[in-house]
Amino acid sequence: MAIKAIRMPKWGLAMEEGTIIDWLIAEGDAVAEGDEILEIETTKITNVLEATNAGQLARIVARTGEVMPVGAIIGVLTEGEVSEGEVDAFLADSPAVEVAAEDDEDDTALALQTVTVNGRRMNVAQAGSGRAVVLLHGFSGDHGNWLFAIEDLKGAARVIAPDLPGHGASEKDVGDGSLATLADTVAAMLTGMEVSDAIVVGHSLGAAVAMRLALDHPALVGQLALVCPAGLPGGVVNDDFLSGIVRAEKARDVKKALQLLVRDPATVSRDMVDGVTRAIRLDGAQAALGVLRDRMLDGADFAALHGALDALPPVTLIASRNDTIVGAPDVAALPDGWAVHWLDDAGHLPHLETAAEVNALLRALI
Amino acid sequence: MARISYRKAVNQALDQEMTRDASVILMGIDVGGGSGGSGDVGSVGGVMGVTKGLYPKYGPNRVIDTPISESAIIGAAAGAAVTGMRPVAELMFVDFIGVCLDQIYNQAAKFRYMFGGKARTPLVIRTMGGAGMRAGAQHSQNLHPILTMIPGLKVVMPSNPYDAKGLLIRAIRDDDPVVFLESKALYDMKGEVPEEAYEIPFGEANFLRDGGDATIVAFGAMVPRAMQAADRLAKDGIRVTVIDPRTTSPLDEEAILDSVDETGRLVVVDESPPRCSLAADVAALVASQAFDALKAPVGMVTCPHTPVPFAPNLEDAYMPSAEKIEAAVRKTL
Repeated sequence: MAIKAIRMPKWGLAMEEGTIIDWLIAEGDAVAEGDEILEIETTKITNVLEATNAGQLARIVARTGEVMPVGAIIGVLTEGEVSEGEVDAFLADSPAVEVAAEDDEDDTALALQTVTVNGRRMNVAQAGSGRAVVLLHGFSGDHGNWLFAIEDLKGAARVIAPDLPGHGASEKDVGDGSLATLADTVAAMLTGMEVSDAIVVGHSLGAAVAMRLALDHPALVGQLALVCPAGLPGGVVNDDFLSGIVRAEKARDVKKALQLLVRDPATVSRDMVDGVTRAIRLDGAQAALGVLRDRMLDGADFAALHGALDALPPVTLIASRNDTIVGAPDVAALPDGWAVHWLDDAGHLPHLETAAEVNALLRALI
Repeated sequence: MARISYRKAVNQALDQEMTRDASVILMGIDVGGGSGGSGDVGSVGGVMGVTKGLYPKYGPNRVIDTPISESAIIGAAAGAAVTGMRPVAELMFVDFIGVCLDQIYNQAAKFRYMFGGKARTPLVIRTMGGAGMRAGAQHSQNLHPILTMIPGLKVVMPSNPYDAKGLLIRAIRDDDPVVFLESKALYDMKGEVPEEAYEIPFGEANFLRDGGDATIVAFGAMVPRAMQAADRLAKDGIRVTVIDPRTTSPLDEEAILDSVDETGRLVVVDESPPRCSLAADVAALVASQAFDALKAPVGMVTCPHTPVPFAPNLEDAYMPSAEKIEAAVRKTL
């Protein structure tokens, strides 16, 4: 017999509390490790909590709609024969809120640091140890877009998630805005961090940067995972989104642009909008994004990739059927041997919208 | 991201804009703080220490300690603005604005209009207001309603460190006169503020919390109190939207009207006497443009129509409190 508390998880540095959206199982239901048990809304987006043990959901402590701090008991999981009284006693004896210590001793703690690369200031998040997994976000994003992936992967790998030039807290100078310039900057950063043979995961623009990185700096990249990549044959460039961000003045303009990214516009939370709004209001940010947009609309960088796809290391392609930002890649035009996974339930942000599915695919690569 | 105080956020905005643009100058009583003496480096930087460190860094030509004459400070700053500088003039307390009101409302605020759009007046008047500091009736007022009603002035009331920095940078880069009303009660408030410079546009409200049961609109130092009230209401399952308009002129009417459309209930919190207050202004806006959405009369939480009392117990009673805001919301339900 065993009794375990299900506590409010901490997804990302900024998360302080979460709202219970829906329990996906009822009291008394049996669960296996990895089963989805409830939906939690964070300040960023709604995500699903998976069971970390097999057992039975003995008690729901926090019900739908309740807002609980990180580390608070939200439910109780039991294994074997446990009485109601024993669950009550367990709850009485357990601290209501317990936050896992994230001190220097714990190398899975997420650390943010600033490094100078080719004269540019880069903000980079790191967690965990082992094989390097590099996560490159998309246009107008930042390392925080990977919060669910970082949480999932940091126990098994050294996760490195930079803010690309022009984004987040990194330098706003993007030079000519070419994929090569962005890839060279990431390469110099990885070299400085003594990374080689990494699994490089890119989303959207970040996926195009990842491909360029693999072609121009092959020793750094062991394999690629491309999530809704920009720049593949058959793809599109959605200027409504790109220019929507570049020209946004008010937060409501940003919201309209971000809603293009997801399948259900309601998943774009106020905090997600505020985060992007704050980032693009930094001096020089929208100008930098304008340079990147123009480069993508020009298309020459993407065309150069099309001719070199055969030279890439092993590729896992994670594409979304409802992606209006980069469209659907023409799989027939891709090299044989790419592992292609189609997602049905997300828009352009599956690593946030259907994180569990994407995380499982990424975990399998390590 | 660094957590810094509201005071430091204002200081950082001034510092970064002075570095970026040599036409940005400061003037006011003690803004240099001890300039001319041997203590330049350790100069206090104003009565609240907001301009600390700027005199040693930028010198007497750009950080100008003035005589105690508000009409001279604002008159000189308005003149400097129309001739190409970007002055940030400080009035130690907004209570003293009476002696330089002509320079503000009848001069600076009129230049663009009267010179056919050819005059630019990139003037910022920084000042502080608000009660709760036991400073008496002549040093505790909030006079934003008087300033908000003047066409040609922009009026800013930051409620947190992030907004203070971004709104002040916006104010300095703006080509029209801006009155930037800091809150004495908030100077020690800390929050995450990017080190880089950034602008927050005027006329864009900040939504601090979303909830479907009622809307609270609060200004300046009343915003944290509105959030306390929202926390207390949440314990009973009452979810409120809290809106900080950030600027009283221009006012983000769309944000307020959209929210009332959803909630049907409104409480406005304004630290000023009730007559001709922002509370009355927002209540009138909603009554005239969203009457059909209202499910209850608009609640107004303001100060009484009296000077700010000096007796501490009376001063506390004078202020809108979280308890009063909570009660006003419950009354609309």
